[in-house]
Amino acid sequence: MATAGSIDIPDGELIFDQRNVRTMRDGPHRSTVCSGVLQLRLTPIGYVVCWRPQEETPASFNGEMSSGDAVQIQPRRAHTFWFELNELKSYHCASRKDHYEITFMLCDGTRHPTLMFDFGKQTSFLQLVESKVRTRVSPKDKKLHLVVHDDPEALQKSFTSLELFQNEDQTLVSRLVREPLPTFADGLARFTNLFTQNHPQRSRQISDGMLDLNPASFGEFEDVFTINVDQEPGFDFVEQAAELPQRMPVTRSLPLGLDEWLSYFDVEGRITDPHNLRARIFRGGCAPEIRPEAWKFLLGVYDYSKTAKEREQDHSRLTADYYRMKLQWKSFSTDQERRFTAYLARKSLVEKDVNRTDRSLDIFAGDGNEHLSMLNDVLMTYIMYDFDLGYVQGMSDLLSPILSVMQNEPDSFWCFAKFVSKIRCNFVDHDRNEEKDQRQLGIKRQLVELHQLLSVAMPSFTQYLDDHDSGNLYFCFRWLLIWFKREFAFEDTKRLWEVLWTGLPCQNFHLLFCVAILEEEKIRITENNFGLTEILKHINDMCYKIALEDNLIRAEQLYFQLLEVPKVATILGLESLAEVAV
Amino acid sequence: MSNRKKVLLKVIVLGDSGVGKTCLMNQFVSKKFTNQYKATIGADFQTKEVMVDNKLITLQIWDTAGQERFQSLGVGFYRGADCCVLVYDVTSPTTFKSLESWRDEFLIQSSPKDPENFPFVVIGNKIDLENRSITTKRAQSWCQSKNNIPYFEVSAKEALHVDEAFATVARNAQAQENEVELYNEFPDQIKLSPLPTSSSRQDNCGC
Repeated sequence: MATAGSIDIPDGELIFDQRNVRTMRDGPHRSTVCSGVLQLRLTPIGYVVCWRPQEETPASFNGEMSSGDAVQIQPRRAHTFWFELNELKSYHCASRKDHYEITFMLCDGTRHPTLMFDFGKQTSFLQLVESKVRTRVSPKDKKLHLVVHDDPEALQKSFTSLELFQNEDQTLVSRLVREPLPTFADGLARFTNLFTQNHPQRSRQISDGMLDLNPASFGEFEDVFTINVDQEPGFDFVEQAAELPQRMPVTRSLPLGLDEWLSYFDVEGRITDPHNLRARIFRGGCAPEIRPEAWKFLLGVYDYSKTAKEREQDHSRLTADYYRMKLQWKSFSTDQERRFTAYLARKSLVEKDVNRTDRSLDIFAGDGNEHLSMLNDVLMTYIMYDFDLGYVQGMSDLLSPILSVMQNEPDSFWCFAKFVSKIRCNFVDHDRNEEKDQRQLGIKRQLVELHQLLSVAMPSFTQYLDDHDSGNLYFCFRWLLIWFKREFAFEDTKRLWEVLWTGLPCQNFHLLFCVAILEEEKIRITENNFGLTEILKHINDMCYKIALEDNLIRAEQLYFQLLEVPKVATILGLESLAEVAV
Repeated sequence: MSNRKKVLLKVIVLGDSGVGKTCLMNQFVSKKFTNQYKATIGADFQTKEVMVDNKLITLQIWDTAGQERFQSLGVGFYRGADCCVLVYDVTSPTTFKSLESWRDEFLIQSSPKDPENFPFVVIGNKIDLENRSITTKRAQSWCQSKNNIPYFEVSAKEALHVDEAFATVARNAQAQENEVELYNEFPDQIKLSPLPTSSSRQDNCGC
């Protein structure tokens, strides 16, 4: 897994040792905190920072527990991790409500679990780290400390490769290495001249990019988060393209509870104002107790306009239909299966994936697990329902939250089938004999659309990604394929999905949600100067670390911003996207 | 701070879904096995430092999704690979049969400078299981037919022979890199025609 370093921590002289440094347990369960020991050691390979869970203290809980439905939380241990100090690329410090936190990012893009200290308890560790590595504060995020790697040779080399200087100017570079500050001021003027007079094209790129030195172009300051309790005063630079309107304050609500849910039905059991209902769920999601019913409406298994009695009839029909299809594959004899290779191939894929779907959650844990065989049977029946599509990896991830809510096969099946039909393009493969670039078109199209959105919302960041071999945004593939299932805790995934299923405020809202997440990571990625592999690692390592509600707010703010700029709305093609997504 | 010169070598692990690519990597990198793995979606890599002939090498080992249809998106990561590990499950004949197409696909997508001599390593995983269906001999003879690919039989679950297999991966990747460095001062030079190989086996001329 991403955060687990090799377990064999190198031996060496113990320089520093501190107990009760906490970290979030990394996994699909929400909000568990684990206490551990933080150490700095001098080993034959250099200084090593390591953290391991404290043996004697059981993991303590913090904040929310799972709310009611099938998932129960047990204390679980966090992973030991360690890294060499000379692999450190940067660290991010922040004061939170009740603790101080530090997140380490390494040269290869790895991001270790955030360490949490009682206030004041971080000082001696930070001082020690700062005495071993030279750092500078990022001008774009004052909480981000970037390690300065002393390598005058490399600096000289990179200047040379820029070919900015005639021969006599080389002395400037060596002076710059010796006396950085005064020389920098001196050199800046010459750089500016060089760029603006001799290289008009370069000048444009630079002012578009990360080196912009003109304060006027720093964009708008950001202060409109309404429910972000941990305001980050150090985070004072948010890029905004000039033509975008100011962000509007946006609020989120509590989940829709049972009483309020029942108030949406008329006497005969019709939902008379589905739009209002969807808007309400978009704003706050559903309480767990209404999910089994509400999700059927959101996904289209149930029709809003039908009476309770009509719905009951539909439900019986669907249930019978499920068992009819289940019987089809259940009644194959082994002999029959043997001559049905296409079926066997699908069956084998299902079997492999079911056995590795959310096994760390109690609901799917252990051998002979009842929910696991339900997962298997629903997916096998789906193969009979849509044999052409069959089973594609990722589908078991889409089914497991649904099954945990529905707790029965027929309802899970129909909700799953409706969900897959919404994002069928993620899974459809085109002719196997086609050229490679003609395959996985659904995902590719979304990545292109995401790139368009990014280039409007964050042009210089998009340019950065393009310049670093990452313009295809492949690092978002997992997000899009299974709608962030692997990125969020199980309960958060349910919340996100029900919000996205409302289809509000536009059908491609999940892409805006991607933009929102990337906006928050933008400075870390650019300031660490991450390239293709490091970006992928950084994004992969973000799983279970993304703040759901904050990003939903930002995504909605982005929607309003982009909507109000006519030119942007055209580039977005909101309407056409809405059509293809259904 | 120690100032070691590090060599970074890129290794791609390929094979059908469920053959144990991720387990194998985790066993090698982190020395652990759990039955709580998830099917890999997208791509990820892990790094591990190893000593090869007194030289410190960092292996960057790439893991991708096994279902064939996802490969069209993962190929971007094949570029610049120094070694490719082909994995199959010794209890599953179809995963063994797929080795051929994984190898071909890799060579097409990564277009190495010298495809004939590009280092592959084949790993047969899950030898801890009873119901073995591919014999050692059969796997070895396939490997021999492909320009003598080194072959290992391992159990990622029981940590059998995993380190040996990756030691060979590291050594051969290192050798590959040395050769590339010798021939190419500029790694991204435009290749106009395939490099001639000493062996004439690939003579495609039909006349």
